[in-house]
Amino acid sequence: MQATLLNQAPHQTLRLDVPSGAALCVADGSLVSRSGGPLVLSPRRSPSAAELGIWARGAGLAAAFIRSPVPFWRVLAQSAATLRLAAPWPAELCRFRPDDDPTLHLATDALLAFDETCRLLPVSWPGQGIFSRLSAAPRFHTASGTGEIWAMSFGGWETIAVDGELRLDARLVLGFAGGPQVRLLPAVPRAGLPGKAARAWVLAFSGHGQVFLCTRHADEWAGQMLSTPLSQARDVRPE
Amino acid sequence: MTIVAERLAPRGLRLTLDQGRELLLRAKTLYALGPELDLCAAPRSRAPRSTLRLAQELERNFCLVKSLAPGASLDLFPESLGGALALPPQPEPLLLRLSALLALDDPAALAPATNAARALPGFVCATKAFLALGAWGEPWVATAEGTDVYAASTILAFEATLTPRRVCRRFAGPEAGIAFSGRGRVWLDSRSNAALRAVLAGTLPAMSSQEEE
Repeated sequence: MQATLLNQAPHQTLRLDVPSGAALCVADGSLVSRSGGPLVLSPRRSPSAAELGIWARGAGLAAAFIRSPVPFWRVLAQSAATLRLAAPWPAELCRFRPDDDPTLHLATDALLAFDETCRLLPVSWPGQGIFSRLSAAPRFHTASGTGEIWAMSFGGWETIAVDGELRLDARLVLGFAGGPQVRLLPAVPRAGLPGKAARAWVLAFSGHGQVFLCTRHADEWAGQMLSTPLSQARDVRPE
Repeated sequence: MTIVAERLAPRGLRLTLDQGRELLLRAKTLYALGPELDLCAAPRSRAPRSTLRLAQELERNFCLVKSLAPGASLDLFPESLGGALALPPQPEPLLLRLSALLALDDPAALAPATNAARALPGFVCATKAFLALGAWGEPWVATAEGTDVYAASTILAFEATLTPRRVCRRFAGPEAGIAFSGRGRVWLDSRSNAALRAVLAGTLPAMSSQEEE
C-alpha cells in the first residue's frame, strides 16, 4: 500500500494506492473518493478485534451496542484502487509504524486509517470497569504488528518530550510512545458516582518518552459551535 | 467585461471587476467593501414558476455588488473555513451545489437541475456564468471515470455531460457514494462536510453492512 500526503495542514488529504485483495480500516466519514476497482465496505465497532469479542459477550449491553455509532469501516479492495481520505475537521495527519516502537499508544479518536496487519488492543486503566467503559474516559489503544497507522489531530500536531513529571488534559493527547508511565486521573473530584460523574480527565506522565498532542480542543470547539453563535462567544461588544 | 479571480492566502479569492460589472455575492462572505464598490439587495426576480424557488433562494441569501471604478476588487473567504474555487464561464453547462455557491455574475444563468435531482438534491444548473464556490477543505478537480465513487457532500460541481447515480447508501460514512455515467470533469471538496456535521451532531446513522452495487 502506497501512501501520499496531499495539500497542506490543516487540510491534508491522504491518498492511498491499495493493491488488489488488501484490506484496511478507515474512520467513519473519512473516505471521500475511490477510483479503480470496487470496494467491500463493512462497519466495525472498534479498531480492536479483541474488544469486539468482549462487547459481543456482554448480552445485557446488546441494545446499547446496536445503537452505538460506527467508528470504523473495514475496506477490502476487490482489485487495485486509489482511495482519498480526509479528517472530518481541519487536521494534520501523521504516520506511525508500530514495529518501530512497541510502546506506541494512540487515542481511538485520533485513528484515521490503519492496515489490517496492525493490532490495536484497548488500554484498560486501573479501576476501569464495565460501567466506566460507558463514561467519558479517554480511550487509547496499544499498537503492535506490522503495517502503517495514519492518525489525525484536531488542528496541528505537536510532539513533546516527557522527562520527569507531566500532566496534560487528556482530550488533547493523541498518543504517547517511548514507554512513559501513565496514570489517568479525574480532573475534578468525583462525587462518588461511577461513569459520567467525571467528564474531564488528566493524563499524568512520568519517566521518559514522547507525548503527541493536538493544538486545538475538539470538545470545546464542538460545544461552542453547537451552543453559542461565534460572535457572542467572542464577547464582541460594539462601542 | 471580465472578472479576474486570483487565489488569496489563506484560502480566499480576490475578484477584480471591470467598471459597471455586477456580481451576486453570498451575503455572509463579504467582509469589507471599498468605495469603488456599491452594495444593494439582490434584485427581485420575475422568474417563471419553475424557477421561483431558486430565485427566492438567491434573493434571501445573496446581495448585489456593482463596480463603480475600473479594477475594483473584493475579497471572498468561504465561511466553511476551507478553500475557494473560481470557475470562469464554461462552454458546457455545469451542475453545482447551491449551498457552496459564493458568487455568480448572472442570476439568469441558473436553472433548476433535472438530471441530478434524484442522486444529488440541492444542485442547480449554470450556463456560461462566472462562478465562485466554497469548500470545507481544499477544492480539486478530477476527470470522472465510470467506476470512480465520491462521497456525496464532496461534490461541488460537475459538467452536464455527466449523469450522477447513487451506488451505495453509506460510503464508509454517514452519506451516499456517487458515481457518474459519461465523461467529464468534477470539482470536488477534499473533506466531507456530512462527516463533520455527523461528528458535531453526535448522531451517526445506524450501522448496516453493504457492498457497492
